[in-house]
Amino acid sequence: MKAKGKIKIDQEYCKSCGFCIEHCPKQMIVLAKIYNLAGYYPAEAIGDDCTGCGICGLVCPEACIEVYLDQP
Amino acid sequence: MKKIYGRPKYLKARKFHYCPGCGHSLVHKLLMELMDELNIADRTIGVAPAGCAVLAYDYMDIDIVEAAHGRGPAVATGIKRSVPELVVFTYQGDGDLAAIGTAESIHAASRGEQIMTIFINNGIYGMTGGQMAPTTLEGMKATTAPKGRETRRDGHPLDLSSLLAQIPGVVYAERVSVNSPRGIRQTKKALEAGLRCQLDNEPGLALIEVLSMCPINWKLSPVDSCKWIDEVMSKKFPIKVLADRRIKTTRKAVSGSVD
Amino acid sequence: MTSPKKDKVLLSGNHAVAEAAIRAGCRFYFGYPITPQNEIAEYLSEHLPEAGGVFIQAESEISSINMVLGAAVTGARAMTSSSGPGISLKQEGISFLAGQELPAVIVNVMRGGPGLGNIAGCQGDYFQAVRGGGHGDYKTIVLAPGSVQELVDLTMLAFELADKYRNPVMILADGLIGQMREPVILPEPVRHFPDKEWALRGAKGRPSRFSRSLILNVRRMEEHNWKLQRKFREMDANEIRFERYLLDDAKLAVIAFGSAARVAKGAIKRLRKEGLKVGLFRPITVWPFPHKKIRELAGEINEFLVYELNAGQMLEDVKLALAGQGEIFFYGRPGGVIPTPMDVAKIIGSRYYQRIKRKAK
Repeated sequence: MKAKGKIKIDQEYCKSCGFCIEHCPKQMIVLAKIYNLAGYYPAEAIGDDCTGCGICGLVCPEACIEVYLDQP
Repeated sequence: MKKIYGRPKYLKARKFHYCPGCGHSLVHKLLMELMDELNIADRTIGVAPAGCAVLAYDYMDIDIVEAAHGRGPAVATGIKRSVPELVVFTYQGDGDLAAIGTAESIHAASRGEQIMTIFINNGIYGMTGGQMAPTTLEGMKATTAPKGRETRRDGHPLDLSSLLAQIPGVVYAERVSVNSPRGIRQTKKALEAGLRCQLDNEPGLALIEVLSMCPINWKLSPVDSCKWIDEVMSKKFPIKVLADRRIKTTRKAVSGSVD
Repeated sequence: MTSPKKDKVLLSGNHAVAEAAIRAGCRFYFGYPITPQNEIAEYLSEHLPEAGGVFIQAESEISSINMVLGAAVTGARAMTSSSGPGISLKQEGISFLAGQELPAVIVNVMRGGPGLGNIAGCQGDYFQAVRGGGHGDYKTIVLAPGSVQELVDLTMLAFELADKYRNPVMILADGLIGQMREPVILPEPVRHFPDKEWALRGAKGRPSRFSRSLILNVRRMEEHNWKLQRKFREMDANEIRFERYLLDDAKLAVIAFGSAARVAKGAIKRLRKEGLKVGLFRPITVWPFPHKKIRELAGEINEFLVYELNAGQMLEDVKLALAGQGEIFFYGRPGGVIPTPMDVAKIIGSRYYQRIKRKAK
């Protein structure tokens, strides 16, 4: 059974650097269509393919991505 | 669901003033993770530089002392000699460490001061607006080298870490980069090795150079900046262990991380 | 040289400052060789480790002042010493110490200048010492000893004042006092030190804190500056020290500090034997400067002679103090020339005869 994961991005901290988007193995992170208070288009997760690999959290310079994993 | 990654507790809940994709943000995060994992936050003093990270104390929830430009290793020497039980690190950029602070960097290393020096190398002077640094590559443009660095006029880029690595008082020196997931993990291991040199009372200075993205001054996107480090910068400043004179340990893997 | 066992000993100024520092509880010395103060470092390299302290000969005067800053931020008593050119290098560090409100003692054994100068005793660093020296609005307390005994006593005082006000303190000596030997009574070592709850020693059991002088918000920077200025006003109110010598019936007051005052005293003794009514006013703190006390003198005395081993520096403070009252004559010798008491007596005497004896006719 595939591991099920979830991420939570604090969009006000995001600066649109694009690292999470570049490195997500499931390509399930995109830039939102609405900008945050600082004027950046923040990253947001789409779909439910997240495996909880944690790479997005690791590469995020703003430390604003929390990664959750369903552990059986 | 179990939270397996989040903001480290010693990183204050405050937005970084650093640019999107800046290496500082990543290194600050890794360092504060280590403060927690090694349980040393309440006995560490960091010495902040003049440079983009002058406001490091706004982010790092540990005791921090500001030093004049380049003088971090001297201030760190005073602190460590006064309270040897503390873990002391300097956090410096290319100007701080390899231009104005060259003497302090060399002599703290020569004396074998038991401190860690974190050298954030972005090949340019960030805070003051993008002037040429000793580490600026040939051909690279900067505000004080508008046509690009020319070795005849400006000298060759300076690899100070390699010079420092030759000094017997340097007990561990490694160059890493935060430009990829692999690089970030490697950087964290290197920073941990550096901190452990003090915890293990290794007789000398630990130097960790981190090739860091500076998208605004390089005039590249954050993702392209990461690629530029791979394709260009790391050819001149190769990623590798530059010196290892540790007595007590050899390279240890951080438990739980996958390379 | 071996550490003095008896408490009254013959010591050179440089050795005396070093021994006094140890007795004042200084346990950190960082310095760089420069004549005429090398004996301070040499003495401490031997005796400071014996006392459980740390001695480092640093790579430069810049590095030494920054090491002092590092030790000071942890609450330790730390000292550095140098002469002219080296003190110039330390100015940024001294400004940082003042801005970060850290205690430290800096010893300047003045030599001829400007530039590389020479190694003779001189008083040409007065402006640098009392006008701030480094950038920004700050002051350091400046103590000017006139003898080796006074050098010992003022060194003990320097550490006390530095801790009391959380500010750098400078001891302004010169090559003559640094090198000469006199018998001194050494004080008991200090046993009780002030509590420094502001120090940084790792955030154990308390929130993390930082020590810095960068304040980007201009209103907060202004507030910080006024806070420092209040400290300097307190120093001005409480820490002025000076000596009055034979001024009660004087018609001419010589104003001098340090070695120059020492020589002037010799000159005055000679002149008094010949019936001239001359006295000496000697500032011991040249910052804070005893402006008021000098202004009070103008009530009884009209003739002033400022004598310094420079081209006219304390002279400006005397002019400020007198604010137009009285007549000031300046005699200065820059470059390291040190006139004898006889030379100085001739100058004072001749001025006295021009201004006082003639008027009496």
